[in-house]
Amino acid sequence: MKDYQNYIRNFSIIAHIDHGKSTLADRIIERTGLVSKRDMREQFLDNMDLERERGITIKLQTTRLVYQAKDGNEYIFNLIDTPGHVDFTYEVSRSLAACEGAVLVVDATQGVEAQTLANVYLAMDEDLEIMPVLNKIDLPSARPDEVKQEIEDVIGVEAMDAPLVSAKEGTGIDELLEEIVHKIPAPEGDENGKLKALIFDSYYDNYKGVVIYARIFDGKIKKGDMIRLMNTGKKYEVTEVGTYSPGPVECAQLRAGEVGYVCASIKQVADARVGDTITLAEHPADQPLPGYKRVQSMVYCGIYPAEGEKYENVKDALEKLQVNDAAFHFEPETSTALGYGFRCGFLGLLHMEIIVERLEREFDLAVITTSPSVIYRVVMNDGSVQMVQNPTNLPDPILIDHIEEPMVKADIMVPKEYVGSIMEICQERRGTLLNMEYITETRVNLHYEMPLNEVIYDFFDALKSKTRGYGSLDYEFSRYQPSKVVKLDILLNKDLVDAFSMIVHESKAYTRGRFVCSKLKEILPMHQFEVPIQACIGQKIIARETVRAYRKDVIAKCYGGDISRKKKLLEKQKEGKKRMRQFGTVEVPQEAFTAVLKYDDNK
Amino acid sequence: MTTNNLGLYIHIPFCRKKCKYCDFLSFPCTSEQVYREYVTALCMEMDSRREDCESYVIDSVFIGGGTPSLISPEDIRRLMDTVRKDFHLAEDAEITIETNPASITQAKLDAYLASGINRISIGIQSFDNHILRRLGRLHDKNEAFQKIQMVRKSGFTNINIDLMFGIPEQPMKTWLDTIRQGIFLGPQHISLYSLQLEKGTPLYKEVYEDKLFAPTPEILDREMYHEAIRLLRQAGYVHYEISNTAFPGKESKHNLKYWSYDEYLGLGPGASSFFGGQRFKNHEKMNRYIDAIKKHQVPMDQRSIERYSEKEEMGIYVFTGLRKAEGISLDDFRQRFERDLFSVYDPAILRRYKGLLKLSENQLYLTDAGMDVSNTVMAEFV
Repeated sequence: MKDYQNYIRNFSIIAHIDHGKSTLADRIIERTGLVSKRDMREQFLDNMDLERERGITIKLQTTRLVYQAKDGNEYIFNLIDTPGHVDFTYEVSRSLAACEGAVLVVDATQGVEAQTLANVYLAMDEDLEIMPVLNKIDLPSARPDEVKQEIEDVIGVEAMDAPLVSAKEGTGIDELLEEIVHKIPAPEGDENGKLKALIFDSYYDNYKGVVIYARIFDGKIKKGDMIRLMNTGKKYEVTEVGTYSPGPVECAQLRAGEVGYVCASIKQVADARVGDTITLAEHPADQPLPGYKRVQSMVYCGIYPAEGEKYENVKDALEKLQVNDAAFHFEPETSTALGYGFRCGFLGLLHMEIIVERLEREFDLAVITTSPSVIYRVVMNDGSVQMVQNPTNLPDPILIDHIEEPMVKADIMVPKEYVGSIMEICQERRGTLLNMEYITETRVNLHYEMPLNEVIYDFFDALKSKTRGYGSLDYEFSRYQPSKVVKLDILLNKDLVDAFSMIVHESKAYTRGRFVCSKLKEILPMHQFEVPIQACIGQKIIARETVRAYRKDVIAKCYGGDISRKKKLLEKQKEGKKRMRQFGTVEVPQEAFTAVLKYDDNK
Repeated sequence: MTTNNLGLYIHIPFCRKKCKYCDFLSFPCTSEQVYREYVTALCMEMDSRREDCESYVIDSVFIGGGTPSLISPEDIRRLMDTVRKDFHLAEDAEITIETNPASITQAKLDAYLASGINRISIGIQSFDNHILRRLGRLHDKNEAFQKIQMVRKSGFTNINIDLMFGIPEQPMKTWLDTIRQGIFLGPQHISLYSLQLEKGTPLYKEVYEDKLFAPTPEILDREMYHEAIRLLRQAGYVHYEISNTAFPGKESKHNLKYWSYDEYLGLGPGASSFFGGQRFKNHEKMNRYIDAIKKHQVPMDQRSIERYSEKEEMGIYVFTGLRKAEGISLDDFRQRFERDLFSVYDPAILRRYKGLLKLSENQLYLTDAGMDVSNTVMAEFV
């Protein structure tokens, strides 16, 4: 091991949402003197507003910190943050691969959660040193001893000496920093070997192009090097290397064991895929680093400009988002109901929601999203296979031999009093219980196999609602399985609105049909004529509702010349109308498209 | 401005008792002294507006409320004298006072006429005692008849009665009886208002919270409206605005100002104005209004001043104009805004609202059916 490597610690913080990861990271950054407390925005690492609001980290940010340890030496801490949601498992695993250790934050009041476990397993897969920390120790409901025991029982790592911290109040942070020095191994690697650097994140910068975050495993990289990305095979010239502390600071080179950024005039993040290996074009490494996977979208939906919104604007925004998000992709499509729009692929439902919200907030665009869909494997009578993700493209049933749907393995962790209701909602969603284990006396891990189609619909909402927020979910794709799925269409005033079409399991078609009809009845405004709402499979109508006609929409009195009041009233009405989409003669409010997907507690 | 005529609205915000459906700005008050002091304040407000109105001719005055008929004959005289002193009042100005049958007296009627008031509006609402009680009105059917007679005999030749329909659990028959009796009494002008249940009013609570009465179904409300219009037309009334009918030539000038993009100046708390190209309101709170007057300031609520863009003003022009049966004139629009109406708004609106919105001989107007859903159509233009 080289001398400089002795003073480097590369680590991640892993935690369940809400367990205080970001706050803890803030405290560490503050304590190492990088940012003064006064100048610090809360939760430094979460730098997108949306993340702040949801309290979850989506996009990684890596920071180089300098810690003055009690042994008198200065240590470089490379804090590599990881996203905190099931949709981003692959990104998490690549970030972890860049580290030697992981600080596992467990909420001392809540204990271990499914997602914590999932991330711990990922860390273990990368052979990381796991260093547990108990957070929220200041809360009266904290039960550190029990939770330590739980960590030992469930995760199987030594936890009795785990630092007790309160990230909120800043207690225990010094002990934690010392522990990092002692427990987390220093990096290894040959700085004179052939370059092997792992891309674990990237983002697009308007001036520099794609900025790659990389961990150097062997060799070194500097400005002017010709590099090759081993999986995509593309070559670039390095224009800058440096570290983030927290702003970019250019440096002469990055050596084995170090973490930093690399710029090489790369046009979009999709060209510098997470998990790819950087090597030198002249003296390439023999093998890329293991673990690279191509991004696979799991969930698709249509995104259309809302009434009055320009197609081009939406397209520009999607392109901008794509430049920065290798996991998101889109292509143009048309819908008879919604006109020109885009079919978009996402890692999961959260990823989809994030993209849609960013379109609305950052780009101020009004868009309509259609029912999310998974990819069905349609086996035709002639034996050929079609992958279908847009319900509209489902071939004529006569030509289909059978359809297969994607299944996932889902780990659901809940306090035991909720097991009954969880089994019920899993049952309703065609889940098969594979295994059930008691993690502790009060907490259960349920292993289910479930159709992804059911998971993306409203499962997460239902889970949260049935467990008062205590349940957690983690899932991953397992296999394709033949399934009796049918296409459910919705007709408004006898016209098919393709944007509402969805593929559902035969056994669910009636309930879903009825649900969508009654939901639309609630949401559709009254028109000057009756509007029948019908749900059908093929020609067969399976559910029906009617929105009655309105007859009156007039203000009789004149408010003594208060025109402004009347104007405001009309504006409000118009505002409501603007959010409507005209389908033939029927006006549909935008929210109808998402409302029909939402979990309804009272149904 | 193509005209320098001005309508004057004078607000009297007192009632003996607030009606159960009312959400207008008025307070229960019976103190003669308060009335007197308030009228003094109004006179001071007029004084303060004297210069601003130099270049205008007042061609309509509307004393509305509240219940202006609570005010004593002397105070009414004082008010009208001040109007004449401070402003140029046209010879043929339409001067209206709103009254409640319960507070009409011969002495007041004489004073009205003597002070130049030439139009009287009587809040009858219904000739059915059940309905009158449900509304919380102070008068009954007999008093309504008596007072209308008294007004006529006094020499008023321009009388309006307000009638109301769509009252919770009001049967069609009761309403048509009210209309027939109204027609029989022969006022020159009949207003018919579809009752709006406003949140915060006792009647709203009785209907939607206590569920004492069922609200009138929309369909019935519209049948009541159209049936009444039919009867009124038969009797020679012209349906000239959504809620107003009159014998030809007796349309309310003042009312039409609101819908014809004409200027009006409102006096009294909460009164709205469209004056000097600006839209604003007076302070709604009585004490703030009085305070401003005492300091010889214009009692305008600065926050209420609206500065609309030209496009917004076009919208106002259109949606107010559409309240009138004749609608709006495309020529007038062009003259005022130097644009063609259909270069500003999508002509497809005509197709979308076929049967509701019509264009004929350069007039754009709502059909009878269109009036039922006028907001829907008007919302297209704001």
